[in-house]
Amino acid sequence: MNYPVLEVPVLGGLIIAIISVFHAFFAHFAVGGSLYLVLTEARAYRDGDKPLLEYTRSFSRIFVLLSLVFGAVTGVGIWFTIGSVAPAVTSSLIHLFVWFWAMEYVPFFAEITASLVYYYTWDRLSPRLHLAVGWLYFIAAYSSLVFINGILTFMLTPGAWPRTGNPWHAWLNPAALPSLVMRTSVALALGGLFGLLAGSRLRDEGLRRRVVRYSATWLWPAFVGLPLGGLWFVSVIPEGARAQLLGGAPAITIFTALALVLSVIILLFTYLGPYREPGRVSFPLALLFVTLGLLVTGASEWVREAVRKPYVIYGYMYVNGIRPQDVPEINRRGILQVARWARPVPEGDTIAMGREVYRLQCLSCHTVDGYNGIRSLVRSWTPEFADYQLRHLNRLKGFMPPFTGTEEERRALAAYLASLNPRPLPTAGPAPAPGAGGRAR
Amino acid sequence: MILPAPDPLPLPGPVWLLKFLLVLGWFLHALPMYGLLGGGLVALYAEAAGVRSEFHRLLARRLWAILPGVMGIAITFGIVPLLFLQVLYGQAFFTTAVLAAWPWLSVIPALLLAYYGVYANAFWGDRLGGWRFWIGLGSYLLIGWVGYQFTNQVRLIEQPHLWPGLARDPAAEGLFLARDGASLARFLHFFGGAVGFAGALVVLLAGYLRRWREADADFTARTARLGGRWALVGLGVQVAGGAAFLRAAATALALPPAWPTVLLAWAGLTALAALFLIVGQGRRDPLAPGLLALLVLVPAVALSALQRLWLREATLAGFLEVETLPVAFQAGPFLVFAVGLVLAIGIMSWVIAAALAPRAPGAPTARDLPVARPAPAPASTWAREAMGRLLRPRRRV
Repeated sequence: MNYPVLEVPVLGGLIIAIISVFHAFFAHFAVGGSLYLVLTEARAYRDGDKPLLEYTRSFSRIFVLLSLVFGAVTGVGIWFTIGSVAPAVTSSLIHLFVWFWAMEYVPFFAEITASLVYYYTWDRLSPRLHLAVGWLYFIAAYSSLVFINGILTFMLTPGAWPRTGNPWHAWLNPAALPSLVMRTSVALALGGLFGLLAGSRLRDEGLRRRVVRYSATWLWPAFVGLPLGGLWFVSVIPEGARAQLLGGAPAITIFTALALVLSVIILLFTYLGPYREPGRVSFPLALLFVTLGLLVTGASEWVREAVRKPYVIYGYMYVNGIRPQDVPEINRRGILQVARWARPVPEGDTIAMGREVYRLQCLSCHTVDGYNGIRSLVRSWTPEFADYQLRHLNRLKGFMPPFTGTEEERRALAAYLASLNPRPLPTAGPAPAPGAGGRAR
Repeated sequence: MILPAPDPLPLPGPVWLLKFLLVLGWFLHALPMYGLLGGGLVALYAEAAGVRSEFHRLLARRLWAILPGVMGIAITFGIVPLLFLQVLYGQAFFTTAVLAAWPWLSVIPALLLAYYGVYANAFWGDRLGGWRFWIGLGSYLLIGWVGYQFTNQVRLIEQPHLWPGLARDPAAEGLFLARDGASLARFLHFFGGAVGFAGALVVLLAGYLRRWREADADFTARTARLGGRWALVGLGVQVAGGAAFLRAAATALALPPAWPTVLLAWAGLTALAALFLIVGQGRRDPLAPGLLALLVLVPAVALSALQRLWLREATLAGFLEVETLPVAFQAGPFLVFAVGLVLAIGIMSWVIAAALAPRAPGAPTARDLPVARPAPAPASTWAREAMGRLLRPRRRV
């Protein structure tokens, strides 16, 4: 509303989710994988296991390839995308958390430096010093996760911050610790899954069996951490968000169930396959486990974003960038007057006015014909029915913010929504009652 | 001209501190970014010349091996200036990020593709054969595209009179840089600077290869000569581009009184670097001239960072003045950040020093196993016993 609006065809706001899922996947892998590397290296030294040491060295290359730049670029990608798609919330988060992001940056810088030194100095550093660099690498990666975790959970549970305005209260919010327990479990599991993937390619049969079985054990902490952290997390989130998770919004419940079921499948089959029968694990099977891991990350990150609705920062800002405290003024003056980048609307053109109101209030979640496409959602709606829906939007659909604007703007939006699906010309016979189509639905 | 309202939340620190960190962040980002943009060009040239010359082929191989790491650092260090640019100039930054969103967002896939191209050349170069040049060229063009988009974005922030036109018709105006002589001159200025800086880095690399005895005298001397020449050409382009940009875009601006002094200091440092590089062309050991050239180029880059800030402030004067924004200093979080930064710099300096220290001949490395010691048997506990029974694979009957 304060900024121009970006129209993302087909994908809409989903573009942020797509980049975030890939980033979350590889960022967690970087954390768990760094511990995997250093512990495996230590194990190789302890057992005098030269093949295992060589495997660790080759695995560290995958790190440079995957986690270092893919993680960093997708992280920057999130910055770029949220700045363009949701500038108002990005601005608020930056103002509140700039020092926390700076704090997160410090270990991230250390992580990048340590990982490069770790990778490039296998032939230069002594075993002891190389291990020390590896430990620094892991500590830095995990610290980075700790800092960013608090910022992410703040958006769902701002805790005491709305009352105190204290940034520490914002960061140390109620969901921070349970989320950290879950993310730590996921990081360890992903480190193990990638170890499984790399191990399944080994030619030495004995080494392959050892690495596959050893990697499978990295998933065990998730058996405990995920359910415990998950229950704890659900117990501290706001009542409205919990209601959506537990059946209030079917899509969210389905995705939650999907994440749970896939997690159980991965854990169970890792035990039955790679752990009990390490010799029979092929590369495609390992790849399937990793892909399932990506799907779990995707589903759970989507749920994390979705349960916040209708807010983007719970209680502080709606998902369309409007703050609840600004609603009375917008209702009085009209969104087309308050929004600085509203496009001029021709006098008397109700549909054009409605389209502009749609652009300003709905585009953050809806496209016209793509993801969450509004055209199919309002099929067979009459202007009267659309207006009724808009008047009671937040009560009829708890995950949507209330309509904000004047009565004229609301009617214009209703007319625009109804115009998206032109009704066929009436044929001979009695005319239907006004709005009957919508109400019948 | 339309400017979004300031964020309802106050600035989290004094403006001078945020500006200092913005300048420092850009400076730290510019060093590896120059290394990548310039070093990529030298590597590409060496790759092309390597078809006929063994020296060029070997040099290209060494340069490709370094570039993925440099690129990783450049991307990582780019986050800091972005952070402080958003907090200070968010009203302008977010507006232009929306108005020119698609070229701006194209930076992400471009960076990813470019990285994996550079990575492929670095790690699978031998297997790629003739494809190495074309992959390198593709990556390099993508890296250039990223640089072009950053110049585009910065210029757009500084020209708010263009914003309404972009809002009306983003498709027509999205690539306005191509029609803007000042922006092209600015891009050329930074591109030349990158080649100049990377050329000096190649001279330094030659010096270290000689010191570490990782290459013979002929190879290091030729590498130093080649790096020095590229550096001189780059610095020339940088000065010419900078002069053209200032003539086109900065003559009417009310710049701070210290501007001429800083400009003169920058020009003096650049000239001094060129002098060291010219002298170094005839020396057997290129380490000293390479080091000296870089020692004067690094502060020159820092002065560039300061000049960028002053130019932005002068162009936005009367429209967006960050000094007028409310401030509520988050002293505690800032202190934690500052202490953490000092600690991290200390630890990482030690790590880098350890990595670069000369290795004693015959000393064991991380790839060698220490003398095997019999591992002590793990203490048996009831918990370990129970877990073992539960998890141990069953023997087949």
